[in-house]
Amino acid sequence: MTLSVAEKSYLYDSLASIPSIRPDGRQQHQFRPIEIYTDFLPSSNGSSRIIASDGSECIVSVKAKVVDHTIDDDLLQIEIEISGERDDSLITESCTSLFNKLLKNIDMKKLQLTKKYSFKLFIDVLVISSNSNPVSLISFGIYSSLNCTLLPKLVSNFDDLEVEELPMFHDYDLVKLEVDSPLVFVLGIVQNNIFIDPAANESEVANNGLMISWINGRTIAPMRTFALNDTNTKGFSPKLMQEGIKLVEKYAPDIANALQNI
Amino acid sequence: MNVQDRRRILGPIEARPLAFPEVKSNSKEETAVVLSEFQAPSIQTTLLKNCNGSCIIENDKTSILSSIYGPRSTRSNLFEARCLINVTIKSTIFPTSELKELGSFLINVLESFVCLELYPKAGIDVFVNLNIEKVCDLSWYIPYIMMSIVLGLVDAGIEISDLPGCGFNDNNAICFTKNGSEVIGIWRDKGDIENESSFGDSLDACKEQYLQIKGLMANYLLSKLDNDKTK
Amino acid sequence: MSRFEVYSPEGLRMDGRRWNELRRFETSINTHSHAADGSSYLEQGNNKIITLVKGPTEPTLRSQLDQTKATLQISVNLTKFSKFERSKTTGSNKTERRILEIQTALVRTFEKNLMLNLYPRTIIDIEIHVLQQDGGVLGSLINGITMACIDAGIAMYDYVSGISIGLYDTTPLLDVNSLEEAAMSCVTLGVMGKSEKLSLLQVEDKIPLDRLETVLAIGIAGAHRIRDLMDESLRNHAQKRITNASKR
Repeated sequence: MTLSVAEKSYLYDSLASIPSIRPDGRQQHQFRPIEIYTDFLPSSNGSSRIIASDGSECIVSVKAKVVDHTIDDDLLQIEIEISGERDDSLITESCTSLFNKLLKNIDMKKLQLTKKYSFKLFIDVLVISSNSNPVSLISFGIYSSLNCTLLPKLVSNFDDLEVEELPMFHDYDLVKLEVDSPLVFVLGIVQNNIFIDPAANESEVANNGLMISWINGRTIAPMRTFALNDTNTKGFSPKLMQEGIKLVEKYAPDIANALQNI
Repeated sequence: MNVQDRRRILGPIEARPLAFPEVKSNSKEETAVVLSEFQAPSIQTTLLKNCNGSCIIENDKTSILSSIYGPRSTRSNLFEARCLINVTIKSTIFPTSELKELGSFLINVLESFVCLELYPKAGIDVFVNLNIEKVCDLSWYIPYIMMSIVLGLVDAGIEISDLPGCGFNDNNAICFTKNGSEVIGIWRDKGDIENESSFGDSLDACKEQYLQIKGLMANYLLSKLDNDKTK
Repeated sequence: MSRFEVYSPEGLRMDGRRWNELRRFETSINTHSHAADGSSYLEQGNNKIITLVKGPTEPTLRSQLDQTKATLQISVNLTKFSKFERSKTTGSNKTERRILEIQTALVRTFEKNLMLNLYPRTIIDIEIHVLQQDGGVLGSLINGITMACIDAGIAMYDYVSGISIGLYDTTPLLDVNSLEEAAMSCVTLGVMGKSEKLSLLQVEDKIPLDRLETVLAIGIAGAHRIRDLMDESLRNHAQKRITNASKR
């Protein structure tokens, strides 16, 4: 998005004022409306399509495969593809690296099938279009697709160390995958104000961005700062980080709840 | 349905892929030692001839070399009113995607204190070589990397608005500027944030380390200035 | 040979269709109005395809600039999760030869159909994401592009509708799915509107020459049906837009 100098200055001043005024009249903690559709890919175990109100869109597919976890203990594999970016571009690679670290917070024990075998989840993310930083959208997409992931029901024995057999599944019964999935919140910082989910125009003038991850009531790593634009980047008061964490801890449960109820 | 003997697919029971014993040094103890205290490293600048500025930061286990090229003209035909920064980190220990992520983080940090508007239509390329023994996560090295880049920038004569630095405590690597009154970057890779007060403590510890590093850098630069004068 | 019964003596296919029946065909346009100038979402059987048309815009590279006509660029993204088994290739499959071949075939088909001479010094960038594939993908890609180009308002001579036809022994089977595609030789057609002109004909296996005529005949009939379905969906969409506009 390209804004004129006058527009930027107006926007900056209104965001920096106390109380801060956001261009679309949102509260400090308020998200833009998002649309989520789940389970629309029958060939995946779980899938979701998430669309932000500015047209940013992200599709997530979760596929499961049975692996021997004594050989392959990496039970989650995530691949992110951002349309219009090469696979080795800075943004794609750093997003993938970030989510690899983030998904370490998922409890892998939930994927265990028998004493020998586990499900391995392949999470594929396709960002079709994004107008502001896509990490928050991606994490919501992953959350809602894991939330609707159905896995085949095991009918053979759990203990298969003694008997050498492959796990057997029920012909049609499926079990819901119950895992907590992390959420990432992007916060924009303008002078001494901090606000959740900066839109494209707010990102354009923000002094800095803060990324806070959260899972089931806990604020977790990774936590990062990152510039939302390349012209206005500045330092900010250390207090704002604590304020950001507080803000996320207060409102994240509501968001997780909303995503859970889809 | 297709009925088949499931018991035959597996092959011999004892079939296992080749596994080599991991070479384990007593890294845990070392980590504890290294983490507890910031070791003042040795600093040396202007050691490479082919770049505009360079700096090497050395400890007994780490040697971090930064080389700065620029400001030099960019290949792009478009007019850029401000300087473009690029950071490339090289290491054989960490995966490339993680290094790229750190690179993009450092670009953002540099953007907030390098006077970019003084160098229109130009680019600054920062290359960092990590020559280290792995004792810690990547985040532990950020203070040293940061120190090496900042001194490299000074060596290259690129204008920066302050002498920023980074401190590491409790998994947080926090970059400060303006005597700790402003944060320009935070990088945290593991561990939960239990509550705000513990985070605040860690913030203070990072700040202390930053001030220490800043003192080191300032001393080094001043003594270098004196040396140059006497020469 | 496939171990499934592709075509039963009673004249039914694996999914219950007769030899001359199409799969479920649903399409809508203007699905990604924020992200692109023209967009379409197409479901043909279990194929699910998003097509985005960006342009005509100024090209970013000098090499893409043509003084006499618009440059057409098509990129096909067959997502890793699109098949039942996730594709195992590490890294991108965009440089795979099969994909490059599909892209060239599509560019050649549409270069003749879009009036590119009306947009000199510009680029039209078509981005296709295949979310799920189940046989006859090339045909579905053609249909998706046609719809998205219409949404983008790019001048074109006529609809191009794509369809795949398989030949099982002596019976041509219309609109093959992936199981059928694997079991027999197939032909993919791109047909211009209601005419019998072909803008694309792709045969990757052997097909007896004396059978080709019946295959083409049923293929063209199927393509005409698809053209009608696309036309109907477009008209419905337009009707909705008009009523929405008049409400305001």
